[in-house]
Amino acid sequence: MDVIFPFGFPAPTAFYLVLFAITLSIYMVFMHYVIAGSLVLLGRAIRGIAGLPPRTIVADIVRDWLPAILGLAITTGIAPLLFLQILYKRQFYTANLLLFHRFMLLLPALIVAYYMLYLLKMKRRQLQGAGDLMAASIVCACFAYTASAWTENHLLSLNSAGWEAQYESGRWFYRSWEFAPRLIYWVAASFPTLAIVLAWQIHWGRRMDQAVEITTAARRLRAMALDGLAVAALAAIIWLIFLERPWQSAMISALGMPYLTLATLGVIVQGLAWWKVRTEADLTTSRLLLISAGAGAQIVGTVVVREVRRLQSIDLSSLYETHRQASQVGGMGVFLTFFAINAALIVGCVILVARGLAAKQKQPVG
Amino acid sequence: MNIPYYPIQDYGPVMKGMVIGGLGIFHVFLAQMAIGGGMLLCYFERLRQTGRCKNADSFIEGYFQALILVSFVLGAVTGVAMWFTSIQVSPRTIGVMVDEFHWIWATEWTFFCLEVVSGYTFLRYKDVLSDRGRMLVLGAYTTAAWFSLFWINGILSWQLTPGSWTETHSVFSGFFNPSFWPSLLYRTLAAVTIASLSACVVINVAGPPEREDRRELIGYASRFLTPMLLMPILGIWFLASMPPDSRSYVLGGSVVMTMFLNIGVGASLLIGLYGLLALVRGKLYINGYTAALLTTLAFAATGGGEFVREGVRKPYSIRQVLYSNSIKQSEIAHLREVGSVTADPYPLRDGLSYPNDQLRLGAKVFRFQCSVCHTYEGANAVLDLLGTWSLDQKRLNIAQLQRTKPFMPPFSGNAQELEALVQMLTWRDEGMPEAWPTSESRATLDQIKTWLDEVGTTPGPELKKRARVAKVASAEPGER
Repeated sequence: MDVIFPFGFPAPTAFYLVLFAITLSIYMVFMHYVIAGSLVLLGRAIRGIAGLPPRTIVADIVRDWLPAILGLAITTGIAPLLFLQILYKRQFYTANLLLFHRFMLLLPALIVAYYMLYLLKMKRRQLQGAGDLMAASIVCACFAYTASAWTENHLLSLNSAGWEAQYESGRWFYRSWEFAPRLIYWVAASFPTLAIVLAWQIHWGRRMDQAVEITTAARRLRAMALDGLAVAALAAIIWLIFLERPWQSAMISALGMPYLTLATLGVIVQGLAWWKVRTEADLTTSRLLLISAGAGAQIVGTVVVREVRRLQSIDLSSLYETHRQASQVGGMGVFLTFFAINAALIVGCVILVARGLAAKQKQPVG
Repeated sequence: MNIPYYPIQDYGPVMKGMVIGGLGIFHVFLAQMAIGGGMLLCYFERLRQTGRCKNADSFIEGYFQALILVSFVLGAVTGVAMWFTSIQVSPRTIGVMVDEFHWIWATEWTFFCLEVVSGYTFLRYKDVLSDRGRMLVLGAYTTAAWFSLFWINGILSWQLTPGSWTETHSVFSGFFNPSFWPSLLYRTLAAVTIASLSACVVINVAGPPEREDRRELIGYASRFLTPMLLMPILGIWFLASMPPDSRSYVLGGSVVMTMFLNIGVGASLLIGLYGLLALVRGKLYINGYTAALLTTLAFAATGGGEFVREGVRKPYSIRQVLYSNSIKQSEIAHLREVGSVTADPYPLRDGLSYPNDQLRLGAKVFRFQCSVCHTYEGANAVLDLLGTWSLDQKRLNIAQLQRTKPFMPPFSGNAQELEALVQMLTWRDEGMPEAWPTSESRATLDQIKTWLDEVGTTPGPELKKRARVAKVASAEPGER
């Protein structure tokens, strides 16, 4: 297809594709925080068992926020899952069924991870050394399992020619060369996202920390973001080089190229902006906005590039009629109305907290 | 006709419905606890702000943490698990539901977002919020939790009573279906009850050390049992809204359904009696063990109710649209012509263990049409159900399945497939011998075809209704 995504598709299909891409991008922000955050906690626990104190305030912030962010990740993940089922019902359902217990096990894995995060957060004084390391390791193992199960599920859904053999064999594993570069990309790309979200958290809570602590944290975030961007870029290049010809062509066609460019630009912008961060004074609002724009471009670009790979693997035209029928059912007005109301209420919660915090800071000490 | 075939997994001795049913009961219980819990917290927040209950603050702290740990974590993940399990059990059912109600689900998702944000806001920042702010955030949390019930209730009740949706295909005629309101109100009362009982557990486990302080909190929490008085009325309203054939199952037509209804009613009655006679009148103190027992009874009541809700839909998973084996009502005539598994691309995993192709065909038919509800020798084992039938009995009863049992879907294949199924089941029943002759009698196939044509593709509930009308019409005036 030589038309920029999503314009070459019939309106209903394009509509659902856009909704899917937007909601998946939002989900990615939280998912990145969870993946990279759990690895940060593991690093902290390893330092702890070696008797070393935490290097920065970063791990403490992550530990404090991770359970809530996981809740948000699971919640925001529902919307793309919904649109995915409208777009690629057969592919998604078949991959789910073929991986069977393997895929379903990610649910207990998430429950265990959730509770371990609370354990790390709530019992921080009691849980030290080996206990801390064990809990953090379990969290990482659970998220690694979940990420690998999703990647496998996605790759299997793209390979309809292999479904019958996969079923007959009774195997619960599906292996593809794409598995490693994709997984490495997503894990590595989660660090720059975590870095920028943490930078905002530190920026907003600036008054609660010492300048020297913020400077140390800023340098840590810089390293985290730059290392993550470098590894993600490398994994993406390897994936693109080894991608089979038709899919590679799609990436450099009008369908995928603008988004591949967008993601690349996002990586460059983030890289340049982080490069200059040396002290706490460098975490300015304008710089953080620039990095956020870069991160947003990288996430949206990657999500669409991922979609282009899928669109080239399946015959979407056979689903146009299903998408058309789905687009004709009612209820969108109700959704938009409540979307607006609930978004306003969420903003209202934030305003109430901001006012409460401001009022508390104004109170005289003692 | 484009019928999708999915790779069907074998659950061994476990019936697939048991998996989704078990998970569903657990999820519903937790979700209802979150809904009622929000209302209870608003009440205690009011008590705190007006100074009427000195321990309200510590209760809110403890109960909200319990709510987050139990309901947010397990409730959210089991909610996602429900979706994935539905895909495992019946991808077509969930597919139709998503197609028809995706905007309703998307609307529900906006409430999930509000619920999570307001919940964590309260948990984290309640101490910096003003009294008004605390009540607003709790109010947002409670409203969001209840509205998530509102939306999903419309979709679930539509499965049983699609109402005028079958003609109009309008989302809102399906959403506000005949069982929508009784189901919503009943579930709201159940949520309030579960919240009240779980609060009693929390108060005993993590409440104030002084017995009198705990008694005061329990007294306030138990007031939330009072709305249970309305449960019988709503239960009767829900029963009245059911299709007559579904209602007949729970009123004695199906022993299992009747038993589960009675478990639900009995457990609710015990809670209600205890709550109203002892707690509300303030004559009895409820300790941790009793609170746990009452909460377990509430779980049993939820289980009974959910089992009935799932079971009374038989033979459908979506009434008048999709049978429980994921075959659409409109597809049966076509499948009887071309065969139900002719286009099924998935081979048998144990294909080599069958002595001939006919048995392999029978196994594929079983997998496609029967395995969602039946196993060979485990739960709801088909070999137990028809083990004593003769060959011809099996042929006739399966050919006219919806007449044999009105809660079964019609057989959806051709005569060859039916004979293959009968042979395969008989071969299994006889210990799976190494050699088994192929049944190729033309007369047998013709007879099966005659039986299939005779009953047609009319669903069991419709046949039952017609039989009743015919019986009334043919009765002499004097006999009426």
